Amino acid sequence: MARVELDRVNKIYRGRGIEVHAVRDLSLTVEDGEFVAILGPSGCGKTSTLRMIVGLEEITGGEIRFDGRRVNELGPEARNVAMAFETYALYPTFTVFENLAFPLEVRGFERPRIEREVKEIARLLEIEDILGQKPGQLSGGQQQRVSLGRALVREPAVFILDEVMSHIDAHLKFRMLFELKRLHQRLGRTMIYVTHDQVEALALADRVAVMSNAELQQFADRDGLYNRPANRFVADFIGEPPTNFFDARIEQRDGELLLPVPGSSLVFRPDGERRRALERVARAEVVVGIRPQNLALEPVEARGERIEAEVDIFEYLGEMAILALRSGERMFRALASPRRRLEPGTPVALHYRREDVMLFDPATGDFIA
Amino acid sequence: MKQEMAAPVVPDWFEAGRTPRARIVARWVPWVMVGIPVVVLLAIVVYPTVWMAYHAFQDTNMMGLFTGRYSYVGWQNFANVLSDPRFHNSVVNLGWYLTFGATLEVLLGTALALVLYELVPRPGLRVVLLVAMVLPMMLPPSIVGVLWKFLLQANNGAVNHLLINLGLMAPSERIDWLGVELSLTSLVIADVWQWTALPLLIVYSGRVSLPPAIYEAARVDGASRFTVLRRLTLPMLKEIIAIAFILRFMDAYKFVDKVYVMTSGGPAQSSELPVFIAFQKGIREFQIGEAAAYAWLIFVVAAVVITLFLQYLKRVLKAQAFA
Repeated sequence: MARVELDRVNKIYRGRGIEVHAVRDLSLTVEDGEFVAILGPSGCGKTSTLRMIVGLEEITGGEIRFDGRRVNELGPEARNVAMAFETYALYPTFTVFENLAFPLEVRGFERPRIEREVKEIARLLEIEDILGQKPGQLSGGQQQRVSLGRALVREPAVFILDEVMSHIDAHLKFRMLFELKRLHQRLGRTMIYVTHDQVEALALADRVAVMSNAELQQFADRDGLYNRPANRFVADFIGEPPTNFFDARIEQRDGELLLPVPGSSLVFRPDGERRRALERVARAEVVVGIRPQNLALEPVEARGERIEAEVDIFEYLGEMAILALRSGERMFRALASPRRRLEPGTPVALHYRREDVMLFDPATGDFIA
Repeated sequence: MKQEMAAPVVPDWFEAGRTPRARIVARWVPWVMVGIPVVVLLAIVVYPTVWMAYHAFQDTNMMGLFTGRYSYVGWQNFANVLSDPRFHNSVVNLGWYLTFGATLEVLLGTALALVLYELVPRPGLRVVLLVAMVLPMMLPPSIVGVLWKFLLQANNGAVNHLLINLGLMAPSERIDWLGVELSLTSLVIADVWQWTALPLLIVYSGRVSLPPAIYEAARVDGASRFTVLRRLTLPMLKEIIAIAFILRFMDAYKFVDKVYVMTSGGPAQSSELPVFIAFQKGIREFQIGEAAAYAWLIFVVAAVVITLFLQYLKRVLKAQAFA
């Protein structure tokens, strides 16, 4: 078990005159026994980060420490990390048993001990019945579990999972997520999980590191990402459907601060905390963000505010419906109950709470309040 | 029972907009198109094979062939071949050639391919070396035979000169590369020089196509390079290596060109292979009956070996759930 520290880590790929800065000044600390997810769209540098932690990729700049010990110069075999690969990377000529036994075998363990430990892991992952089979005969979910088992069997300091759910169908994925979470709770190992799927990241991890454009955007738990996103990118990336953004003006009217959206009849009213923050930055314009989940067709509470719009598209999404709305030339979305079907063109009132209004700097995209 | 020849079925678009006469012609176009290659195939493959099968049981020789007088001798030709010391000798030679020629080519090719892939870091250099090693394969085998015959001459050959100049041999000494003792070895050297590149290419491309994630997994698992080679790479390349071997093995059966150019099977039949004898008997001595028996024996053995190999391959692929 180990605490993993990344200290201003950089990765630059060079080749044929092209230079790609894949990871820029990344600093984050994964506590001992913590489950951390690295989340971001493809090409954001998350896999490069993970490969540097494992030791499969050289670190261009900065330092990675395990329990305070610098590991930059160590190969993966010396770092005592285990990794489950996106493609599983099972050894095709080995049986499941041999696959699980291989990490122990190369460490020179005695045969009886190998058998004991492999059996134990197989029981834990419920793959005892397929120990004699070859990977080619297994289903995706079974291969996934074997690859997890191969990583778990040797009790690594850090356990790293790279997009391990991306090739599993939705139904099984749900079960595997649950099992993985349970596994982490039972084993209490440091786990780093890389994914592009926010549902996986938020379901599994204690804290999520959101990356974009080679940089760490925010490292926080679920509440932090939802309610205090560091910038527009995080607010947009976390949450489904994504946050609505409006370019608004700042106006004082009758002693009240109003945020009207040009080109529409929308006017947002922030609460006192946000209002004070806005006065501090002293700008003429601001970006208003509000999550579709926080716009309701029914009044939310006594102090609730409302905006008006008309329905453009009413889209069923299983247990929820997504409303695409229009006010003037502005389009935005809200979540609604699918029970009442709304025809396009229907005028509706949408209610929100003042504290759910998020404000962003229009120039930098940073979170104001 | 006489079979009625069914009119060929042609699609509607084929008939549309054609005159009645053109339609009659058009109906037979596919038959003619397919018919020509079939006739050619019958003439140059099927007919000679049947002809050979027939003559393997006749006492056909040159006279018989021209006068049409030959008679049925049953299995006599086969008995002659199987009891001929020359045949025994050639089978021993073939075994020797397979062991030290084809096998050496596969082993050497595999080793070179893996060294090239694992130890040459720059892809550009790798391609240059690969091309250089494949060059001998581009030459016609008979030319390679002539080249090596020159190089291996006892008195003025470059190889003996080289050995003398390197001080490995006294200036008065000569190695008789194409003599009784070494003729087969020399053939093997020339063949290995030319054909090692084939297994090399096959194994190299096999190695390139192995998924890199498996190798990263092995690194993370802590396996040494040697362990990875022994436990992962070679088992994963097993079928590819087997394919390379069977290709060289099949070639070994029709290894005539270099033998003919370099030694003509001699001296004293020291480098004769069964196919070469069949060629000698059939084309040189017109012992058609016996030559046909030789051809049959070679065919049967090769067919059995290759069938066994294909079954092995099928079983392996099934076990790995590829097929």
